[in-house]
Amino acid sequence: MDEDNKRLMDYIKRKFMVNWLFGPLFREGKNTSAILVWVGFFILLFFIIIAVFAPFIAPYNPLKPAPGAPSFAPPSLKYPMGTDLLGYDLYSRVIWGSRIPLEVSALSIAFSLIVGMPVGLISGFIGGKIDRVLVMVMDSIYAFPGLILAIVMTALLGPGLINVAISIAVVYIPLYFRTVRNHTLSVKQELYVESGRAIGATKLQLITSFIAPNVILTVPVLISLNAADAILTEASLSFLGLGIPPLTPDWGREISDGSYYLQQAPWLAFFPGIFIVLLVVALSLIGEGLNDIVNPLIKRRESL
Amino acid sequence: MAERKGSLRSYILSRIILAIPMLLIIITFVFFIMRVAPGDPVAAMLGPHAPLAYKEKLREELGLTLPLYQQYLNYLAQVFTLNLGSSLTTGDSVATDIFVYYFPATLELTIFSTIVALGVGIPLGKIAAVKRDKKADVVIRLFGIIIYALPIYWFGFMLQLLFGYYLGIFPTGGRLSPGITPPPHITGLYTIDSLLTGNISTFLDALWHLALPSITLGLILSGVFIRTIRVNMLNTLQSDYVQAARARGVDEKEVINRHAYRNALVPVVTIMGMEIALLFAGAVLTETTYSFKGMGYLLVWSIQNRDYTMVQGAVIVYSIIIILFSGIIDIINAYIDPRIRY
Repeated sequence: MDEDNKRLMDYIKRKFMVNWLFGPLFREGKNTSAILVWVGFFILLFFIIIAVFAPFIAPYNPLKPAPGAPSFAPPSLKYPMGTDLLGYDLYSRVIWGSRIPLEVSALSIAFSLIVGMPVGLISGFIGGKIDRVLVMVMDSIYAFPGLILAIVMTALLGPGLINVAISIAVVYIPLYFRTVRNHTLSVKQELYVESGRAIGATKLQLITSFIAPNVILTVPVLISLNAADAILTEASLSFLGLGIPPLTPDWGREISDGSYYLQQAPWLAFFPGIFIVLLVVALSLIGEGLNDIVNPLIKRRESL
Repeated sequence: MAERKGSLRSYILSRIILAIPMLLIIITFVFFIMRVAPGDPVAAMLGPHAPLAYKEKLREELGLTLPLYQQYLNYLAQVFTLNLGSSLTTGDSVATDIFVYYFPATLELTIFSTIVALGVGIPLGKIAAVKRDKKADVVIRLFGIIIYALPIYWFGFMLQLLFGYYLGIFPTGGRLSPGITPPPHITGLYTIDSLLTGNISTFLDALWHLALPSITLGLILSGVFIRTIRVNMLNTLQSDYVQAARARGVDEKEVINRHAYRNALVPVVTIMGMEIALLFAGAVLTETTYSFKGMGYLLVWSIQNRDYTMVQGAVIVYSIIIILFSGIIDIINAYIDPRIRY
C-alpha cells in the first residue's frame, strides 16, 4: 500500500512537473529555467495589473497635457518619465500604453489559434493531396517576412485594433498550423487512436476526443513563444504609424514620436522601449522555460 | 518515402522546380491581400473623403474595374516580365527604382548585418557552450534573450544617441555624407562600387554610414546564432565521437576546437536560411530608423504616401528575393551536408 502510494505520488509529480516547476520556489534547485519561468510570469502579471488598473495608477490623463506641465521636462518626481513637447506626462501615457500591446497580441494569438489549430488538425488527420497543398501554402506564407506582410495588411485594412490583430494573426497562422499538423501526424499513429478506430469512433470523434486533447498540450508553449513576437510586431506596426489611431497611447507610437526629439528629450524614446523590452523578455522567459520542460532536447548527463 | 541518393545537380533542379509553385503561392496571396481583402486600395490611396469621380478614374487606370481573373492574369504577366508599372507619386518605373536604387542598399545593409551577426553570435555561442552553466554562459544566454527582445528601432535610436549625438563617432542616418557624390552605378552597393572605381574616401564614408545600421540589425540577429551554436556545441560535445576523442586522451582544447566546434558550425547555413525573412523584416525597421534608403524605407514611404503601385512592386520583389535567397541557401546546405539531398 505504502509502496503503491509512493509510486502514485512519483507519477503525479513527474506528470505535472511538480518538482520541476515548483521546486525552485521552495528550495535551492538545480533548474534555473524553472526560476526563469516564474520571473517571467511575475513580470507579465505586473504588466497585466498595470494595464487593468491604468486609470488608478496613471497620475494624469494620457489624452491631455498635464496641467501646468512645461514642455520637455526631464524625468522628475512630479513627472517620472518626463514630458513631451505639448506637456503630456509620458509616465501616464506609458502606463495606459500597456493596454493596446497586450490586447492586440492576445487577440491576434486567439485569431491565429482559431484558424491554425483546426486546419492543422484536419490537414494532418486526412493527409493526402489536400494536406500537401495546405502545407505548401502555409510554408510559402511562413517564408515571407512576417512584419512586411503585417505592414501591407494593416496599410490596406486601415486603422483599428481588430484590423491590426487580424494582420498579425495572418502572419502566425502557419506557425500554429505546422506545429499542430506535425503533432497530429505522429499522434494519429498511436495505438489508442487505432483502438478508437477499432471500436467504431467516427472521424470527427477521433479528431475531437482522441487526437485534439493530446495535440493541445503543445499549444501553451507555442503561445508563450509566439506572444513575445506578437508584442514586438504590434509595437513595430505602431512605430511605423500603422494600425493604431493617432494619439492613442501605445509604446511603439511613443518611441516613434519621441524619436523626433532624440537629442532634446531622449527620455521620450527611452522609457516606452524599456517597457517593451521588459514585457518581451518576460514572455520569452516563460516560453523558453516551458519549452525546456515539455521538449527536453538536451538532457543533462549527470555522469559527466 | 524511399531514400534515394540524388546528385547535387538533381537536387538543385528539384529545388528550382519547387520554387516556382512557392513563388506563385506567395504572389497569389499578395494579390488576394491587395485586391480581395476588405480594404479598398483606392480608398486607402486617396483617403476616405476623395471625390467619387476621381476614385473611379484611378480605379480604371489601375485596371481595378476589370473582372478579377483578368486582373490576376495581368498581375501575373507583370510579375514575370518584371514590368511593375510606374510610381503613382513620382512617375518613375517601379522596377528601375527598386532594382537600381533601393534593393542594392538593402542588400548592402543585410550583408554587413549578417557579418556582424556571425562575428558576434558564433564566438559567444561557443563560449557559452564550453562554459556551460558557469557565469559566462548565464551572461551570454541572458544577452541572447534580451537582445532578441529589443525593438530594433529603439535599439537603433539608443545607439544613435550614444554613438551619434553624445560621442559623435558615427553618423545617425543616410548612406553617404552630404556633399559626397555616390560612386558610379555598377552594382548599386556603394562600398563595392567605390572600391571598383578606386575611390577610397567614398568607400570609407559609405562604410562609416553602414556601421551603426549594421551593428543594430546584426546584434539583434546574433541572438539566434548564439543560441543555435550553443545548443549544437552542447550536442556535439556529448556525442560519441567526442567522447571517443576524449577517451583517447586528446587535449580538451583540441576536442572543443577540432571536433565539436567544426560540426557545430554546419547548421549555421541552415539558420541563415531561416533568418532571411527576419533579416529583411529587420531591415525595414533599421532602414526607417536610420533613413537608409533601401527597400524597407521605400515600402514604408510608399505606404505613407499611398503609392499603391510602388507598394505592390516592393512586395513582389520581396517575394522573389526571399524565394531566390532561401533556394540558394538550401543548395549551399545540400552541398555541405549530403544527407539533405533526397
